[in-house]
Amino acid sequence: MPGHECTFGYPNHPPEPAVLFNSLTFVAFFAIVLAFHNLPVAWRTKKIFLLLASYVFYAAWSPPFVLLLWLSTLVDWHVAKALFRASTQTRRRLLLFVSVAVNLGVLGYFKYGGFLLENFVALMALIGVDYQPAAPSIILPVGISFYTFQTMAYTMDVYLRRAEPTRSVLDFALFVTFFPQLVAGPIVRPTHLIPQFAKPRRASAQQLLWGLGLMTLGLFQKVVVADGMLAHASDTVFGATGAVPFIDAWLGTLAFAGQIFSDFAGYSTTAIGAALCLGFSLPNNFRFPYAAIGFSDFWRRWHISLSTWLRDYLYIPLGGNRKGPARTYVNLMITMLLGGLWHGAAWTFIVWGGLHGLYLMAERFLQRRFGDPERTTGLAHQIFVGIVTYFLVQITWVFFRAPDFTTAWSLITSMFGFASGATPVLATVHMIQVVVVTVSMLAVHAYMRSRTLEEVVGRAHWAVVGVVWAAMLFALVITQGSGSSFIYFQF
Amino acid sequence: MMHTDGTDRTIPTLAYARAGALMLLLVVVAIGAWEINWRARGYNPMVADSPAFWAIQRRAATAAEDPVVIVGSSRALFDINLEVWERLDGRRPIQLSLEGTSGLLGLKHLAEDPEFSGTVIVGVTPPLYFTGFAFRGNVFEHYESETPSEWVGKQLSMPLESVFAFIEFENLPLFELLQDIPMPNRAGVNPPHMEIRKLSESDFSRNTWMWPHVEEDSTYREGSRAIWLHTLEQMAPPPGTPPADPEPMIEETIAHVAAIRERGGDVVFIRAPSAGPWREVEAGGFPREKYWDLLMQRVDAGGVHFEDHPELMGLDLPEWSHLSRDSAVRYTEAIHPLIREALWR
Repeated sequence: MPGHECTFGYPNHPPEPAVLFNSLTFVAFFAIVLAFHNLPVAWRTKKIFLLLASYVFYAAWSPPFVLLLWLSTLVDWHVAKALFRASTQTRRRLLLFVSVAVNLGVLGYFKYGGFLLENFVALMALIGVDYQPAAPSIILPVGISFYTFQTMAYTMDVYLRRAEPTRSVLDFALFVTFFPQLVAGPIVRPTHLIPQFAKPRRASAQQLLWGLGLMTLGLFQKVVVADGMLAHASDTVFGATGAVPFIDAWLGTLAFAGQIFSDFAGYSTTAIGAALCLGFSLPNNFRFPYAAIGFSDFWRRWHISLSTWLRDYLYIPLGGNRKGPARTYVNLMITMLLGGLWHGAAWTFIVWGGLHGLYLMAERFLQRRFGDPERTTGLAHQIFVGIVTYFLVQITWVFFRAPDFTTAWSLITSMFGFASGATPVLATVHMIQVVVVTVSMLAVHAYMRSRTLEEVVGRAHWAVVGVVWAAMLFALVITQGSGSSFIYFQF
Repeated sequence: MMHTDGTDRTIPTLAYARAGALMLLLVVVAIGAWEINWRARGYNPMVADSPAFWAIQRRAATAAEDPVVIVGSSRALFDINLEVWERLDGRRPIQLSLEGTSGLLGLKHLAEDPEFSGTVIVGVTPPLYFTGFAFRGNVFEHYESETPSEWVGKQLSMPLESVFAFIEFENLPLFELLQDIPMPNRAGVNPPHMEIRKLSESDFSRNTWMWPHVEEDSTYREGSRAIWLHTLEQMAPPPGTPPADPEPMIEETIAHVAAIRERGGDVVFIRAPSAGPWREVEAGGFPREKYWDLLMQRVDAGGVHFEDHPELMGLDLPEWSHLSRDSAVRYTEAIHPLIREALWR
């Protein structure tokens, strides 16, 4: 008998937090940084302290991987300077190649090494070669996809003559390493952040309090909504060993849709709030994406810093929509496939990107025939397109979340009502939580579609803001976050 | 109603000081009320026995000179009272037992640590020990890979845990509590939260005892028994399943005992009392002569089985698996000389 002596009273012990925003370590770290940042010391000293604090923030997870940050910083600092001075196009191209090769090489090794090897072995097997390499044990450095894209953007801006390299290595290092957005974005553009390091910045009382409010909101989204209310249903459905019924498949997928939004938007909001408390501005990364009307609209609202990065450094250099309809469709698909691959080294992510590519292509085709639903049609049509968008996005989340194609296909089958021998897995309490969160989230996104949080809060009475803020903070405290990592850290 | 702050972020115009003050006031009141509520229900400020806390104790075991270390499952955790042992022995044992986890894993962890040298008391709960079951096996992984920030997090958390009763990561998070709302589930779906809210309390040395409610509240006690019955039913192997083979575990034990002996340490095994359906299941699935007795014959170490000593019998096990707090005191007083004798043999 597989014994189990003391099951009750001891559910799975949660992992201890790393320097996550949702950890006491971060609270203490941030308090120290904030206090020092407000001391009457020279701006340069403050920046050096911020840089050191950012390295400590990163090293507290995985000290050796700070070396990779330094490598990325040094390479792009020197390459960009040399690029700016280079007189021939050949030399400029060579320098750009060095930057891209180093950044993508590091990313490729750590993120895609195992995936490439696995597929190579499968390919060999297909042609009858039994190749058995040693199992790779590569650890994915946290945030590598984010900071490599940020440093590459710096070099590419110089190459494309969109910007000049900064003269301060300290400012550049701080741009690469600035802790609020280091490990999960937003992927900040050098032209946005580096100029902010030039002059002394300190948050006003209003900025500080608004920043703290944003941090509370972000952590509420992560700890209460994503982890507390949705993670269980999502994990249960996507971890089910057999087929699940229609209702479970849909609720599990809707739970994941809410979870990944709350988790990632929560991180971004916290990062924006933390930066604001220090007097810095980070760009918005989400704008209520589940109220999107169409897929172009969705990508203007979801992970904005990545989608604009892909647009500016991949889609447009590929030719964008300037080379005719056929080439536009190809460019869209390449961009979305690589966007999918950016999220993870698995074919399921590539399918996720491919589906979005297909959606964007179909939308572009339909828009050419019938016009943009956002601009040209009535409310009912907009709602209809919004619902179709939301529905089709759910299908993509199945591939994004499923550990393999078997699970993904099983869930898709269930979602279209074709599952046989399905066994229910979701408890009533979890079903209710998913429904409540999904309906509330859709209502909020629909209401906020054409508004900003700042507008809504600016119009509210201070007492209402105080009560909502208190409710979020209290819910955060009594939810006692398990310290689980933000989902996007793994990307 | 808005202004920009000089960058591209907009700051809403608001009476921030008032809103912030109201927020603080409400949060303090709400947390106070929440704390009072849980204290009134019998919860006290106690350590959160997380993997990071276990890692602190584990490091202490390596650092200490000739320590007594207890490994095992929850019976070794509940049943040996560290205060009593310290009074009798002069040394306070380091408690490394883990709920629902084979004591063999704890023994292995110490045996494979070349820096560790001391006396190890190994609790043997046959259904766990001879199957290698590890409900809390994650602590070993955590110990090996703990990051600096995880260590800092626990250091910062412990002062709060010593003040607030509601900080109970296992039992009192909001969405754990919501799962207890009684509501019907579809056929085939298990209730999400089978667990009774709480069985034990631990202090900051992992000295652990039965939560008074289990002993004093008959409804709560019956609830915990009902859950054991459900657990035993669910854990029962399908008919015709061959019994667990003790040989691999015994071989492993022999090697670990030898490793600890080589470094000047010693090992003793204990089989703690059980009662009711638990004892029946253990006697049926893991009969003493085929498991415990075989272990004792093969391993070069002493052992204390509660059935061999009248002073270890007749104790109170309110939910059949663990001793009541008073019985744990009596059990510790009674087993201390037996363990010493087994070590000196």
